Amino acid sequence: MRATPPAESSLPSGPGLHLANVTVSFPQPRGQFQTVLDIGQFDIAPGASCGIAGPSGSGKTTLLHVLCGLLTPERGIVQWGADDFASLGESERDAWRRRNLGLVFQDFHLVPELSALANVLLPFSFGTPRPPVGIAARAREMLRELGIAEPDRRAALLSRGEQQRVAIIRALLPRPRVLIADEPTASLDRANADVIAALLSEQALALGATFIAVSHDPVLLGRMDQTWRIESGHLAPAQAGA
Amino acid sequence: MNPLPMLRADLRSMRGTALIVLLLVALAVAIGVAMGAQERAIRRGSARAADHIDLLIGAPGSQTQLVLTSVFLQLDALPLIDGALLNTLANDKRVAGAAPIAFGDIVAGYPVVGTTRAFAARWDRLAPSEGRLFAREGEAVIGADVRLTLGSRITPAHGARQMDAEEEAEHRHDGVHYTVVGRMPRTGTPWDRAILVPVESVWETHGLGNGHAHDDAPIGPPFDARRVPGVPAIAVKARAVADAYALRGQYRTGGTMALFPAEVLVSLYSMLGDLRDAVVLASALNNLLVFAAVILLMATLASLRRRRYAVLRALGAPRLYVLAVIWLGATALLAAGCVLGLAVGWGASLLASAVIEARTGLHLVAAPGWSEVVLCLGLIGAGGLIALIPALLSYRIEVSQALRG
Repeated sequence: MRATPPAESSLPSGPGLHLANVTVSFPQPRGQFQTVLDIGQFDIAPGASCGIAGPSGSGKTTLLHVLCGLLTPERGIVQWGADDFASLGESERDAWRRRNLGLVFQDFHLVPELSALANVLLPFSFGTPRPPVGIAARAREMLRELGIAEPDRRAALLSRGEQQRVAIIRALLPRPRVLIADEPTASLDRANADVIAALLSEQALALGATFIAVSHDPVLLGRMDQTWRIESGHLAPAQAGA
Repeated sequence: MNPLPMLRADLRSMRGTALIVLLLVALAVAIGVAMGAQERAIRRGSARAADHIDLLIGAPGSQTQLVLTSVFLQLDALPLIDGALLNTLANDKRVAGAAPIAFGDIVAGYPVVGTTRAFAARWDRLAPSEGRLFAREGEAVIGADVRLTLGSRITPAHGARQMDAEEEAEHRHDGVHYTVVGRMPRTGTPWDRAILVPVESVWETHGLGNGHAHDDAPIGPPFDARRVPGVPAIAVKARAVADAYALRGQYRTGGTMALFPAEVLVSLYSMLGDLRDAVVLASALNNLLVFAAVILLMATLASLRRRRYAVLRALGAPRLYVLAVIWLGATALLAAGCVLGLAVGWGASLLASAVIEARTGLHLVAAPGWSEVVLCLGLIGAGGLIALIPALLSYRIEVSQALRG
């Protein structure tokens, strides 16, 4: 169960990430604010992979949303290559995600009423350009390679492992420049988790995508170029062997 | 941008709700549509029924009652006018034909109407489809919808309404019999349910003589008895339109009432129209209320699906895409409900027409009309507008917050 690398395996690397002085705080009762994210500097080289570990409530999801442009920090710089989120409006950030980002959620978030195939093709219905010719055939091929035997079966009827594979194909099919995964293996059993971990890191490599995964999974983290730890909103390189 | 796949998924995910919404909207719309269609059908059908009688002369009283009784055969006791007027009219140069419309009896629920051969043939406009017209006392020609066979012998019972068989038997005029000798073609009017007999027989049944000087006189005018029995109504055919107006003017006063059935209908229609307008307005307001409730439901649903839409946004869907999905979903439901309502409304009108026809013999064609289509389009337009509310609310979805759910 292994996807063949895309034909153009030596794609240019995805954009690097530059985060500086980013803070996010949420309002609390009694008019106070709680800082949930406070990052001095965080850089990832173009095409590199980076794991982020940390206990729940440490600000992982907040960081991830900031990286995806879903959440605008009060201050600080969030830059992907030449794209500075601060200078992009909400619609432009939607477009940025559409063109550059492959996103994988812990809970897959497939549309349960749609077939596996329709789910992976769904992002192609968002944008203005028409879906590329032959995309459906490529989607079917990827689904078959990843062991989804019935691509026309409704997503709700697939096993959890299958659902996550479908979600990953949904993220990879547009050949994203950036791949971000939020606990992609946490909802899976060990065997499935290993498959998914391998799949993600191999595909990111094959696409040359810059890959960030928030995860507790040592298998997945072990496949990353570097691992950072987040704790109470502060980000620091993880100790070796952590 | 192609929101259709997601739209399909959304509709599928709320199948149950969608079905209820569809039926709710359809029912609300159907009421207005049915009212409009039915009112038009009644107007057309009744106007056609009134075609057979240009001018009616009766005793002073309710014009509406005279028309209802003589044109629509909704029998009621009417005051009588002097039968001698029949002869006066027959000798009037402006009159092409004058015939009594006399009733008082029924057979198996069908009214027995006494008149002349000329009027039975509607002044030569109709010929019997079976058999022949009555030629002497004791013969009857029946309307197309009367369930009797040619040659059957019937006994009238005194009464004006439908009675059950037992009651009818009690009021039977024993010794009076008619033989059915012919059947008239269908006219689509209540007269299709009438049993037409010589007016002489009706007079005689009620002990008024036969209207002629001799007992064995042939039927029909002139009625040369010293005292011609009274009749409830006289149908008059004028030679020219001007004559009809002159006759109406003349017989409006002096112990009689003259009217064009059409003019009475027009005043009835205006009342009916006002009523229709009120009901249609009320039902349109009702529809808007139903729409508002539906939209509220859709807004609630959309809010419950915040996360689903936030996922789409996280995957790169623009806000407009989410707006389109929600708007199309709500609008599609409302529009489908309206179209279904149009069909149900017309169907209801068809059904109501059939019931009315069965009761009165008035043939109603509940044809789909543009006014209902326009009403429906207007409702769809209004629905589309208010469906923008939940759609626009989706702009306020905080993607990051909604994803944390």
